[in-house]
Amino acid sequence: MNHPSFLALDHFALEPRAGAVQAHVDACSRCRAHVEAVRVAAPFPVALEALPSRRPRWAWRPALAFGGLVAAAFAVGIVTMATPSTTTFTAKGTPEVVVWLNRGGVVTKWAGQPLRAKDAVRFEVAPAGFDTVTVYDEVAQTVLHTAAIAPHGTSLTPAWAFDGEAEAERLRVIVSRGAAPPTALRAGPCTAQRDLLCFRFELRREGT
Amino acid sequence: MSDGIRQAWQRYFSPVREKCRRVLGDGDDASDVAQETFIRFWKQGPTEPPRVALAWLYRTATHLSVDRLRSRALHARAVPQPVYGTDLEASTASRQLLAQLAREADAEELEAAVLSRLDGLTHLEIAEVMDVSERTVRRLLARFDQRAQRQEESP
Ligand SMILES: [Zn+2]
Repeated sequence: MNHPSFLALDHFALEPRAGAVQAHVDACSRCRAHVEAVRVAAPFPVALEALPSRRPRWAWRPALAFGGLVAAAFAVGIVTMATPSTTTFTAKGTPEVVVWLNRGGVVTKWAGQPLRAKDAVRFEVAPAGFDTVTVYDEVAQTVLHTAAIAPHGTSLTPAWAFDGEAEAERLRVIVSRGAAPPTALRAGPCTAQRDLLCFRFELRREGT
Repeated sequence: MSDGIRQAWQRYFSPVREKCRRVLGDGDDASDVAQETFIRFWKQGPTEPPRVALAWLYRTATHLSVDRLRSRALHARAVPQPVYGTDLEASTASRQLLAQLAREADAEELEAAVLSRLDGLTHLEIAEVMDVSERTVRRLLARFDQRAQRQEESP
């Protein structure tokens, strides 16, 4: 019998989905035993409580802070902006990403200017046929946001507030067909692939 | 914040521990390496989405397990008994082979072999976990297979 990999089984144990793995697990006692075993949580070692907490470098900020933006963004439509570290797409029908900056309640398109503490940013994405958007923090190596989006039209991501501590934040916005593969979630140059495009933004702190 | 770490532990520690056991057997080494992997994960790994978190955990656990295998090989320590019952013979043979080749094969080659022979990953899955091309995976596994064949043929 050909079993799915343990990676596929572990993924299934965490996120059960109908499909080939589910059908196999239903029929195979070895794989079912594995899935059941990894779903049983091991006792938590109290010593780990002392580990420093993972404070998110970007705090979620209520989307309300950008309440005025939604209308504005749709009114002006997507306009490609040149930023210091971003590929610019100008042809119609290619994905585009715009960064919106909220500084003290005033929302403007970000034009590469340095950020201050409490500034918040969010992305507006025109996926041009791609169906998933992922925002990845290259410095913290964390996925900030991933969601299915309508392949046409535009979508807004949640907003993130800049805590002013880091000298720079490096975020990448990936538009893909299906979930972004792990290989796209890392630091370094973005390479366009068949099923994904990637945009990088470096947001520097004022005075650095 | 302790809720966060408990939640991450509940979700991810068991798969990591099982993964380490597949390579290192059901002894203290597997527990140590699983815990070390989790601590690194908590400090710097991506906790969401699960597919990305698991790829990170497999990469790190494989890397640390291979380190441990190689250090065992240098100090000629015995390999503990395996855990998996149904595929016992196959997994024991693969594990013994890895232990035998741990000293001479390079780490990347061993990592690919662990992911392929013990974790049953496809070439595509190995490429994703190791962050290399499928071509590199095929090359690493071919090199490992040649080494394994030489080992079998040697008296
Ligand atoms: Zn099976």
